[in-house]
Amino acid sequence: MSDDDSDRDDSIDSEQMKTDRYGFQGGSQLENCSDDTVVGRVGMRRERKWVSMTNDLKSWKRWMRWRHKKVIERCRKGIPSSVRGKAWQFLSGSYEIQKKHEGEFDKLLSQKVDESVMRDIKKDIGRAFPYHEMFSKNGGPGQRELLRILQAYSVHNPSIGYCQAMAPIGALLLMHMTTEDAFWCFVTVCEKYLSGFFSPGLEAIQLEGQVFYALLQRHAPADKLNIEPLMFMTEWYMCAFARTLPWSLVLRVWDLLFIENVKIIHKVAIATIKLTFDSKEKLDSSSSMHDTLRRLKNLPAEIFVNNALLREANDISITDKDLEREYKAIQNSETTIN
Amino acid sequence: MDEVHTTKVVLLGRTGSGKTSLIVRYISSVFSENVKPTIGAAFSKKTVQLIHGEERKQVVLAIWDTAGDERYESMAPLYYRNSSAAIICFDLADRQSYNKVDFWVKELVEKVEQNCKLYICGTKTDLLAEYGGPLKRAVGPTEVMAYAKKLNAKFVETSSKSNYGIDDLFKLVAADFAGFTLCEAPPIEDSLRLQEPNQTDVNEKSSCCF
Repeated sequence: MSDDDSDRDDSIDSEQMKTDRYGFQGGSQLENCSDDTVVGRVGMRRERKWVSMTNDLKSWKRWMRWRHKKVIERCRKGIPSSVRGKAWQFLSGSYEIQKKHEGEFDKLLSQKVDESVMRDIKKDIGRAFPYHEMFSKNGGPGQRELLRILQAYSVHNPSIGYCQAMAPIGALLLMHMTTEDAFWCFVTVCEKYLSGFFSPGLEAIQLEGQVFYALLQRHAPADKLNIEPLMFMTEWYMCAFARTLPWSLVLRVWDLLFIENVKIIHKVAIATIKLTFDSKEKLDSSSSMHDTLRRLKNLPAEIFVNNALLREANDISITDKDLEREYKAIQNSETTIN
Repeated sequence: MDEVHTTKVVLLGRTGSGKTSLIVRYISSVFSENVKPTIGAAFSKKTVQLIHGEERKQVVLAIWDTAGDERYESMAPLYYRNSSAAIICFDLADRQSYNKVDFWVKELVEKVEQNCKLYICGTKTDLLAEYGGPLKRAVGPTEVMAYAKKLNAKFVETSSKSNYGIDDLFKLVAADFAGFTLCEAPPIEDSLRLQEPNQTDVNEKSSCCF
């Protein structure tokens, strides 16, 4: 292991500022290599299928009802970027929720906000994705709209208010839809997909840490991990990898988040551990806790080549029943201790 | 062969008090205006070599950066347990940030079993009017020093932007741990910098993750 000390996340070359296809101008998530976006005939065919599926709510509901497996399969292949925003709204159900609550977003924004919450939000909107063209400019439109989403949510759900992991999520959604659409999608993310992750006390995330550890033991040899999962998995889970992976992969994970829920986060987390500590040689070099943490922070680039990470994740089978069993086992062991 | 010791150092403090910037400056020698808020915690390490006359020691600082968002407080013990030093940061121009210091001091005193040395670190001196910045000090140095003295803690001031006092702070932490005496921190009125005695030479090599 080299003693190289560069902090990759904070390097930006302002003289040669390039913007990648996702709007990043620097930082660790800038895509330097060619990604796996499908172009050409296959890409166009996929796009047509998605356009037809998401054409209107009625046809979408038919798809979800009668051809749910097909929808999952198509999500696994990746949602074409042109329809991604709309597809996420349909998948999450935020499209319908928004229809039922017309005018609510503006109402929320006109209400009084807790001062300290507002101060925390304002401190963070420039720090969500400081190297993304939409959010890098202080006081720019991206930051302003992100502020509106977070402000409205803190009024919509005051028991949760604002938590720092929320800003990257709000920003991620804003990259794909209008502010009001993004707000309602954000509501579903906070309340359905990453449910409880942001609540004061963070019990949910600590519980997921235990579940993750149990699942890891089933799916990868447990001796590979010599540290407490909460030492590294908090950011992975709370942002659903939005701050961790190359951006093209973040989007693919989110395509699946809306259909597989937290299962996809567990799968990607397990696959990351498996691939990062795959061979004997790699395992030896990560014998100390410090080295393990270092490897998990600067994930080796080869795990992303040819979509290896996502393929590995999709090969892992975790069902709702599996999760339930783990939750119950943890609950039981806690009651025994108590 | 030098003696090698590893010690765990944890940084605590209110959101936006500059914990991550301090570490990034120390480890990577860079400064960025917009550092992403830490979610959960982040780990990095750096080796400090202490030479004092005939005696040589290497101290590996295992540094844990923590989230400032109050929501993560329930998880903090995971990151600060077994620390032999805690650097509690506050923004010199933000009273609220200073008010949070006492919370962390109390928590550490109450919950950390072994001897954990406390360092109170006022950050962002570059923003203060006395250094040509736009803001006023939110808390006077005498107040902080009196507080630190009461706790038997050390008080330092730093700026990650202008790279002020940061190496000195971590050197001090390493030296305290190794039982080396660097020249005692001078009273803050005289100089905010820690003076390094001639005979003590400190070399560093670093490695970083997170």
